[in-house]
Amino acid sequence: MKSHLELQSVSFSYRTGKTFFSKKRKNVLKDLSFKIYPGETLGVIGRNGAGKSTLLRLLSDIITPDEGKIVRNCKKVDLLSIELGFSEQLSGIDNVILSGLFNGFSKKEILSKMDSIIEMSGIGKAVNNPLITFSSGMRARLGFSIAYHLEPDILLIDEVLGVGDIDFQTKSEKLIKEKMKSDQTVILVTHDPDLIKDVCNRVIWIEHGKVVKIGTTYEVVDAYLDYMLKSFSKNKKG
Amino acid sequence: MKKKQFWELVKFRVQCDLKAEVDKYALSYFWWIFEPGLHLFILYIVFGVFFQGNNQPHYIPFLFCGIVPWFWFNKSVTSGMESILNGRQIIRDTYIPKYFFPTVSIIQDLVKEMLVLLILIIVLFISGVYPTKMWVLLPVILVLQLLLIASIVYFISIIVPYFLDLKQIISTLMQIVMFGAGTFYDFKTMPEEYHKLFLLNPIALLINMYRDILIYNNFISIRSCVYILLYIVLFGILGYFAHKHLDKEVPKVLFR
Repeated sequence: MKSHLELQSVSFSYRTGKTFFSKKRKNVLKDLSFKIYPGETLGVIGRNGAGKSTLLRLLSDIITPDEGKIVRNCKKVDLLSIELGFSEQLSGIDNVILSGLFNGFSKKEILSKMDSIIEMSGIGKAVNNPLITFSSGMRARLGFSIAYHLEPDILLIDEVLGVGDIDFQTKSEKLIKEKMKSDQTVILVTHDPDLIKDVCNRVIWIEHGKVVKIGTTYEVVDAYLDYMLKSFSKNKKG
Repeated sequence: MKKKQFWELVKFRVQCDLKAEVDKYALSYFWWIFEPGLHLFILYIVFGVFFQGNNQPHYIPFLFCGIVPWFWFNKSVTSGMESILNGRQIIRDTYIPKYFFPTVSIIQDLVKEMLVLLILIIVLFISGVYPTKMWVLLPVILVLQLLLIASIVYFISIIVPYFLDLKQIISTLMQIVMFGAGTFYDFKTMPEEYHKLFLLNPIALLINMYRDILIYNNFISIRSCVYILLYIVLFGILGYFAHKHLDKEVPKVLFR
């Protein structure tokens, strides 16, 4: 099968010095190679600071690798980003348009989805008010509904699934899970082994910027849990 | 991002930002005129009334022709240089060409400048300066100034995130540029040996051109135009290469 995306020994480091000329760098990812196939949901698991979020930024082409190559056979790879480009003074409607435009959609496409977005958010007529009058729950609902309606070739999700109050959390989590199980190609970054077991076809385990294991969901998640348990009890003894 | 989408986004963002700015204040749109209007009024009191304008004829139009272009330049550069820095929330979450941010900033200041230009023209009328044939050249000077602003802002906006001290340096530099631009005096009244220094300052050249066509009914100085074009080409090339090389590099310093 032809891959959507292919990483070929990708390495990445951040500059940490204060000036332009500083050579100080912090290695984040080292020699990463894997492929992403159409329709699959690929889980990325690993501890804090393993380089998972940086990986998503490389995939969505926000930054480029220092070494190696990312081969792209599809057009849009987008981070599921709630409240992207939101502006306090503008109305909910204007924010929907702005957020959609930032996500690379045309005004026409966004307007055609407007009703469905407003309906999903459950905000009703308040959508005409400035965002500054919204509660944080309402903002999150609107943000989620926009993000949900965008259909990139590959959807990148970083941790958070459910947003807003408890009702909406359940609803949004269910919707996103449905999306992941559908034909949508998804890369999901999370700490949550149960979630990965529920939705992913394949999993990559990253530790200190390197791939430890790639494989089927149960194989990798079990190995990861095993490792975590061992390091946990080691810490306890020490 | 396709070209059409890019400009659709620029247009919508400019509209939104202007609207947002207006909705914040009770006096809304009037601030765009009040704010520069108050500055102009204070300068008028200090230099026009207290100092009697160095006994120069047409001092008020002379002063306003200096201050208005200066305000435009100052505002565009100081707000534009931080545009990419301030866009980091968006840059973190999606890919967008970085020149988007300075573009929006420059256009916003251009829109506001058009209103201030209107004040300038009204003041000229009140002071008894009326349009001549030379006024047709005004758009040429406006375009020159816009290009100068754009070339400088595109370049520094992408350098500032790497070198935050540049913000302080530029603020100081702007003071020097202002005092050296002959905004409230005529540099030709200074000793001859310093004239060359003034001619190094593109804003001084621009201000001279505004005065030449609007007040003195003179043709614009071609030599000044060439000098300004040289600045534009220089900063334009620097900006082009800076954006080309740093477009996907600058996010790395924005969220380190």
